[in-house]
Amino acid sequence: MKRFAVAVACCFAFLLARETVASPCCVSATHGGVGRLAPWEDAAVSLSQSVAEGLGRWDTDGDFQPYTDFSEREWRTSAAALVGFHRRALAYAIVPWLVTERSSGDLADTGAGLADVELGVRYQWLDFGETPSFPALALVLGLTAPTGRDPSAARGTLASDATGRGAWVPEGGIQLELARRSWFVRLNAMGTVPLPMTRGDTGEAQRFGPGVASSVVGGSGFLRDRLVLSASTRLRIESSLHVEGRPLPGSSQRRLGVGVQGSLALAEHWTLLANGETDLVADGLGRNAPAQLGVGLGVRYGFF
Amino acid sequence: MTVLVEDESGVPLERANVTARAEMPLHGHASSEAISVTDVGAGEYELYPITFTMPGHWQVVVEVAARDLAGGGTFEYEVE
Repeated sequence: MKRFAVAVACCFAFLLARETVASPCCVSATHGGVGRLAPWEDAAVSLSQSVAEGLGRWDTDGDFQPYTDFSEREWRTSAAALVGFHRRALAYAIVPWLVTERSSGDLADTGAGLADVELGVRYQWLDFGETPSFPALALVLGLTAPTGRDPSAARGTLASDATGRGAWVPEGGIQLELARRSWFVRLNAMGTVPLPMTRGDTGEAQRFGPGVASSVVGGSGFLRDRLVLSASTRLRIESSLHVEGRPLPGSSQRRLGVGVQGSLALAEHWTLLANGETDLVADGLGRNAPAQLGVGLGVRYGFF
Repeated sequence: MTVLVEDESGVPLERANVTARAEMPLHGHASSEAISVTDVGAGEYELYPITFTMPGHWQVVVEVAARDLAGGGTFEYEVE
């Protein structure tokens, strides 16, 4: 409690010193990308549940094909932890559990399992207000581990028990954030470089193409910043799949979507999290990718 | 699905070693169910089951080895 009081006092001092930056340290911590710790927090854990309904898919030409005699619903439970180990740095882990329901004609299949676990570190290179003319800047390095079951190892009739991609995926990127009073805009840009893998069924060397995952999140705090609402747009691009070292023509992927997020401080340590997102289901806005509509709910506990 | 296996001169090949798999080449994965191949005679081979686990572009890849011959074929499907 004492540390909390000190942190709050620091925050207020900061606000007084710099009128144009009201509470950037606190408002956006749970919105967009990996998230971060509030200045007074040592660590945080969260548990969230989301459900996403498959709407259709984009084909190789970028035409959107709505599902007709096929349905897919994904239930994702994610446990996440952020642990600060330096004034500017934190480590994070996200452990997802996936349940997938699929049906096609007379066939129905449900599968579940641990999905691909994400680990990483986030370093706050420039903090809010540290340089007057430049936004806050954080560097993120992560690694997705193939802890899920890749499609080649799935056994369900409709492969509903496939919960991962089967490849190690290092990633790195930046988070840029501008804040003014209770408003914030954050840009997340991550590059992914999947490592080669061997397909279980054919023994072929396969490598998913390098990709970029970017998002822009903008929002504001209300009710003395106890309630934070934001909207976001995200774009994921992945270049061509390589098989035995050769690119597979027409295999690049693209997805464009939008979302809304909300967080509500329930109590001193507890925050309620909610989000909704959808892919933009129009021709040309995706390629070789599924489109989903999803909502999620979670809680976050901050340690301080 | 039944495939007819012939040599270059069009003679049906019996007792060939035939394997098949269904895969989504652009996604880099196969179907979750392996395809069993049954020799039904006269160079014909029955492939079953063939399960396309989701909509999209699929291929059924058939590979054949018989005596000193080797070959195969690919069948393209667009699953709605």
